[in-house]
Amino acid sequence: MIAVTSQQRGAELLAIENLAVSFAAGQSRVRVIQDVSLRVGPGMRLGIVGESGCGKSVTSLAVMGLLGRGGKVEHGSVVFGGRDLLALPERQLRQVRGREIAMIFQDPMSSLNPVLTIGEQITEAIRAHQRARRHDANARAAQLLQMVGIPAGEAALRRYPHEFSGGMRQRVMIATALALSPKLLIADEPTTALDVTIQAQVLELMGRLVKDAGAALMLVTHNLGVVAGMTERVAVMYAGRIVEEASTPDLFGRPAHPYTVGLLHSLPGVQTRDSDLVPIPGMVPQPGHEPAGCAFAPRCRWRLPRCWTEQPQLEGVEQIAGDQLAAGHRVACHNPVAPEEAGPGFPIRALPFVPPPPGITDFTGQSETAQ
Amino acid sequence: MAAVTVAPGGSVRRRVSVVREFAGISVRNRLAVLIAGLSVLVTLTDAVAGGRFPFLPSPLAQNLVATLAPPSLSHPMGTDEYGRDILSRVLAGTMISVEVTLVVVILGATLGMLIGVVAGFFGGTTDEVLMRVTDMFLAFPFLILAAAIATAIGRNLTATIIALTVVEWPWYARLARGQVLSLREHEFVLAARSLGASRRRLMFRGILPNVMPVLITQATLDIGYVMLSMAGLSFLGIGAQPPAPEWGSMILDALTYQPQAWWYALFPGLALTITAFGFNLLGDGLRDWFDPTLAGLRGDTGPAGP
Amino acid sequence: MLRFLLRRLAFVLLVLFGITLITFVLERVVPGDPARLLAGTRASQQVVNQVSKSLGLNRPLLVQYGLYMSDLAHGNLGISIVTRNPVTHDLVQYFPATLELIIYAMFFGIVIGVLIGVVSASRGGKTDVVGETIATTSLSIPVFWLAILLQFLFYSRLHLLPVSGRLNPGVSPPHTITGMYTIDALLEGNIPLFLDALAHIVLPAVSLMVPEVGLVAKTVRASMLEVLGRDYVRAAQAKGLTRWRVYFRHALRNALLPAVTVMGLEFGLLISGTVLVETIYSWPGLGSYTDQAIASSDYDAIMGVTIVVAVAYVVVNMLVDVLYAYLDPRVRLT
Repeated sequence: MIAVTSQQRGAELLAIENLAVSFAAGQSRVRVIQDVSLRVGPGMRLGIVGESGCGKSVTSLAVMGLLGRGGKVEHGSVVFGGRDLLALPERQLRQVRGREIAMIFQDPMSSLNPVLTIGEQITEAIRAHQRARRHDANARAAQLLQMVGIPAGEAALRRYPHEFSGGMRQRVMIATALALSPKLLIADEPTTALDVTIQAQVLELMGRLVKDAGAALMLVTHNLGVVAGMTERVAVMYAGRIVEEASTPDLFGRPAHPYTVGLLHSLPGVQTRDSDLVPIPGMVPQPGHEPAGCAFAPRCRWRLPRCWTEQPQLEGVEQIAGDQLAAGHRVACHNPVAPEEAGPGFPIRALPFVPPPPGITDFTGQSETAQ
Repeated sequence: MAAVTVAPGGSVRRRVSVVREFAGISVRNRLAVLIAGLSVLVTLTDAVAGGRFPFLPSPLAQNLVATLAPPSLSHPMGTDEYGRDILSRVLAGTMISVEVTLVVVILGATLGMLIGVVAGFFGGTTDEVLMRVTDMFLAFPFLILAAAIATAIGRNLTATIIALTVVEWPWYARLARGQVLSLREHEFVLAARSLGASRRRLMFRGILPNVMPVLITQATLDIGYVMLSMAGLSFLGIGAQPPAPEWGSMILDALTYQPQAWWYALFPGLALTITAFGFNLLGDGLRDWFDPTLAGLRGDTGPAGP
Repeated sequence: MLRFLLRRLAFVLLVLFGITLITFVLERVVPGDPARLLAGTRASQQVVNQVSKSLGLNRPLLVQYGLYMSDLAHGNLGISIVTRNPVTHDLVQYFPATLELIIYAMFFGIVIGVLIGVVSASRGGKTDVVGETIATTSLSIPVFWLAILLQFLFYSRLHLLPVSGRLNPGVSPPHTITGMYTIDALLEGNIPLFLDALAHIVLPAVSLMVPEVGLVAKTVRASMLEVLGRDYVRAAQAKGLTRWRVYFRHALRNALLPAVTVMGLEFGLLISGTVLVETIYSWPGLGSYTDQAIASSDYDAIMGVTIVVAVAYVVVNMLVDVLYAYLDPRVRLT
């Protein structure tokens, strides 16, 4: 069960419960995400982080019902405004899209239609949900462009996407997304395709506008730095599951899952202590080829024998090695990281080396003899 | 047709049809099977053409007693105006069509590839000149130019081959050049050059192997079209001359006896359609193999990204 | 845009020049005895000598080419052996029938082809397999054989449609406005005449358009598949647009762009097809004229048709390029 704090209870905007999605692979299907449960309250900012392939984008696409032909929701529910979006007929789902939940995508080069003017693309979003005359829609679009910092409103509406730079195109996407004042904005890697200097600008703009609109934000990214500045809560995903979920300060200050610890240590500037960059050895398992038990086990230095056989559940942990965790801090781990281990990034307790079962490679670089 | 059988012990096995199984074999094996099949076919038709095939009369053997006979047991496809067995002629015609088509496509593609690669690789004036020449030839509709050339050179199979080759190569030149141009900027070329690779080495090791797949795919797709064009030229009277049992000229001869001797035009055309279809399928399969995005939204691929 | 047009025009002129060069080579240089070929196999040696002199075959090649070009400039394409008319006159006479045929074939070919391609790509699965098979079959059928089959089926067996000429014998054509019997009959308000002309054009047009349908279907399918996977389609869906809008405004508009570039090729296919199909239907157009010319080695006529058709082809291709530039804003503004 999920430990729910008093803040989260009550007016929940979006509740994803036990979501599992599979994709076709040849003749069979492969589970890409499993047991994903998240809550987003009104005006809340949630970040979802993980490496490529961990399923974070699939999660956000599933919410919008945009999985495409190969994707199928195996089970779970996505409750928004009292209704399960996954059970809604297409017509009603369309009314939710754009108006109540909006989404912006990673590559502004390809998320804007090259043969339509940006004005047409903003106004069509407006007119899809409201009866607005072209004149009024254009005026609103010009207003929105101004809001995102694109000058010369009306004239700009007649220009084509390829006439703008990447950063400006993403601003157009933000303007389009916020046109109808949605209650939730999902941003899937919004700045990954942009130059570093532009990234900060666009993020700042997005954050400010979302706050002004009172909307909630679900920010999907692989960049922990982005998450640190923009979100209140973070969920870390690995191999299709959520492995840790906590408030942002808790996650960064007191990471509990070995993967999270490894992530923090492999990124410059986001470390908790002054230490060398330590990459996590090994690779993410392919979907469909995860080991039984915990998917992170081959790369984990905290592993116990049961890690090979038992899938850890995501649950609220009250204390680890005598240290109190904040309420609402959930971890999926049989042997979470103790506070004094988070800094250095490796176990301090004496942990015997647990060899992998046959057929599975160990990546931690340890051996039976060295300990 | 898939039949489901239940083996003892309760496990269910499915017997898939031959086609499904064939489709499941890797492309390399499929190619081998096809080549083997084609070789068998070629040997057979060669035998038929030479009158050496045991059950069928020679395609040239006339029988003025049984002219324009409808399909029967002794002549499954009927006879033509000289009493010749149409089945033998249709089978023998396979040789001509396939042979000529393959020669044209291979010649045209090779010639085009060389010109295109040279143009793309060396650039500058060479490129300009070669491309202008290519464009000039591309300015003519296929058949018209082929007909004009064949008329100028003469009415025989060799002339047809030359004519068709002249019309074919510009497409490959353009294709090859386009490939070379895009490859030139690719990182691996720049990397090789920075390591000091000579131009010749670059051309043969780097560029050609990457140009080939596209050209081969295009060539395979083209075979059907060239075959039909060749038959078209024969239908116009250029190309294979009587008494050669070429499908196109057979249809031309059949025209006089329409609609009474309906079998005369039917079977050669059917043979053309089936053969062209087969090669087109092969070409499609090859293209899909190289570029899986074209395999269609059959649920094989999910959205890009995590 | 203007610069783009000018550049294309210059290119076209260059290509036209090249065309004349090629046809000149074909007419004078390649054949063993051009004079003989022009005079015809039955002409006496005297006539052949005369032709030889008039062609200036004893003059240097460059002079010959000059003479050739000046002939062309004056619209002199020689005399047809078969009709005994100037080739130019023949071409003008036979052109409208072919134009009408090509227009019908192209229009319906594109419409049907696009339909098949779009449905194939968007439905996927079994529909796709069916669609692809139809397209591949279309591309595998020889047009002249199809023409014969259709003739056999719809005329000889079913007696449904006529197979000869543009109108029933004895019926006089409508007043010439466009040269297209169907349109002109409609414009005149003469419905029975319109129906007659329509009935006559059905089978030839269908025979002609079949390979085109296959080509268009394949091209549209391929580009639709590519476009449907693009982000902007998903982004459009995310805005809550109806499926209809997403398909047409976003997907199709982009998918049809590559299909436009194929239109020039289609035109070439159709022209080649008319040579093969018109004779079978006794359609009095350029196709049967060419067929006849080839059969009787009517050299001037063959070369005349070649040049004119090539020029038309080049012009059409240029128009297609311009159309593409108009439709794709990315090209327009560079």
